[in-house]
Amino acid sequence: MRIGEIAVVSSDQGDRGHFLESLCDQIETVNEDISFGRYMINDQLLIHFYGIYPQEDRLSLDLISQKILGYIILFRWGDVNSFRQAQKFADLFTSRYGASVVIAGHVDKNKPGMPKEFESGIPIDKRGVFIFCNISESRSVRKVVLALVDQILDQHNN
Amino acid sequence: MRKTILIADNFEYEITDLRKSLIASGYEVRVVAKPEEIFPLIQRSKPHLIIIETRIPDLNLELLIEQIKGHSNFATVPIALAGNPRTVEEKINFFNYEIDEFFYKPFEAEELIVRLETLLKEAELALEKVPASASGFNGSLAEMTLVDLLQTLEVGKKTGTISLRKNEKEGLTYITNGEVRTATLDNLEPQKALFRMLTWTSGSFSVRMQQHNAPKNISMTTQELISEGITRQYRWKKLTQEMPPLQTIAQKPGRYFENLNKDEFLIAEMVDGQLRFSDIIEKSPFDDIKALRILKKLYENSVIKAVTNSFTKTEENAVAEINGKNGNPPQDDRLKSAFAKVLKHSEHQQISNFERRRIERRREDRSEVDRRMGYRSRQGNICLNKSELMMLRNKLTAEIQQEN
Repeated sequence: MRIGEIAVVSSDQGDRGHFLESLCDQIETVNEDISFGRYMINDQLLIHFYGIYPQEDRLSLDLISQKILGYIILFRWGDVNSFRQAQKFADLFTSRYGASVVIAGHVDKNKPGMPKEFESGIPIDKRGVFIFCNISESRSVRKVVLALVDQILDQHNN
Repeated sequence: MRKTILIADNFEYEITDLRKSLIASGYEVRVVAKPEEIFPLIQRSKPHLIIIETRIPDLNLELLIEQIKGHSNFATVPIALAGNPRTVEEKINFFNYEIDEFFYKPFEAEELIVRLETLLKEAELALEKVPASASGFNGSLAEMTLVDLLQTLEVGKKTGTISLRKNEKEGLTYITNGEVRTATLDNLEPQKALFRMLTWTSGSFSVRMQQHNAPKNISMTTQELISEGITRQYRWKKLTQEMPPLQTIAQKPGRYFENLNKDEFLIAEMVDGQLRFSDIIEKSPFDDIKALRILKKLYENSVIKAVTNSFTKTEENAVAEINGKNGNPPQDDRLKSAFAKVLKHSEHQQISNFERRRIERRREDRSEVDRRMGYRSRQGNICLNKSELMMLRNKLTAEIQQEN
């Protein structure tokens, strides 16, 4: 059995939880700092999703970053503080870990729908892409993960 | 006497260069292309090593390997497979065979010869001790901890035993259909033994897929144990920061303690100037995390301290080497890094040289495989290759389309 691992980073535990619930077959919350879900591809391949919010000491990041495929950074569209945190993490992951990153702006379902052009994401850097999403919607969440996978594949091709 | 290598391969153009290089290196090479002629040629030529291409038409690979391993004259001959598996299933299937190596094509003849020579030397050493035959895999706990191994066996609903070795200790965990049955380590009760092994991030492991009759002594499910293991590893790492290495001997400046609760007093009483921090944790009546927490508090409050020259001769030499460089006593962080190197070296020596070379060779081969498959090496240990990423991509795309 092969296992890949992806981290979902957000300061809001609820947002991390919703994202994982919209995607994973099985959820386990380990403690308030780490949530954990499994997404089965087939009986030989499994993806683990870790919902984290690394604090100043970055211990949880160092603990899991050794095996991570890439990072999904969530923030709330319209929340400036949330966006600044996301920027900070994007810099950290790309510079410290050289990882692929997707920054996902969560748009509440009550707000006007996002333009279709935004659905595939906007490349912002050779290692990152920006995309809108609705974390409660299964299809939207899968598009975010798909954007990350495409990022990783692009890197392998280069 | 020249050693004989038998190559079973029907792609002649792929092995021409390899054949020439092997002959130039002093080996006798026999080549066979038809599956029905492979075993008879093995019986006639009595090779010292066998390489089999996995895609020979009409070849029953599993049967052939069983035939070779089942024959008393050839049971200890190393077998290497050669090919280019495209799917995860194919690759994983190969690890269920009793093989010693896998070579990806196209070959790099020079590198392959070095690896073959290593295999031949190891086979000579192994003749002194016939290895048990059971399918499985080995590795280092630095790469895969017990948590990772439990996850793997649980998802695959596998049955087998996991043996962990750290310093001079060996622990066993018994799994049936992915569920943990029991664990043994020293004379600890099963759950405590398992909890202790869950925190091990150095040492070696060996997994054997085999039936067993272990009783069910651990009531927690494997998923609960995995959650527990992740939490314990996190807490252990956090607690061991700002502490001396656990292999250091602990001592206390005086016998009189103030303001200690009952548990702290008990731990402080165990400190006798002979036991290491790790010994105290293991011998205490408490859970390991609790014992470590108490030790850390006692250390921070200067109730106990670490003996700075409590090392083995090897460790002493490492510290002296650092001291000698600038003539001054080393800074704490330099001392800690000297410890880290030496302890890592000591743990390495616990594994037999045969096993260590096998582990190192597999590790190198994985990174070489990664390079050949076209994806960069990562700081991480688990990386999906392109085909696996494509499988993930395909699944996501299909699910998105279904929801449209």
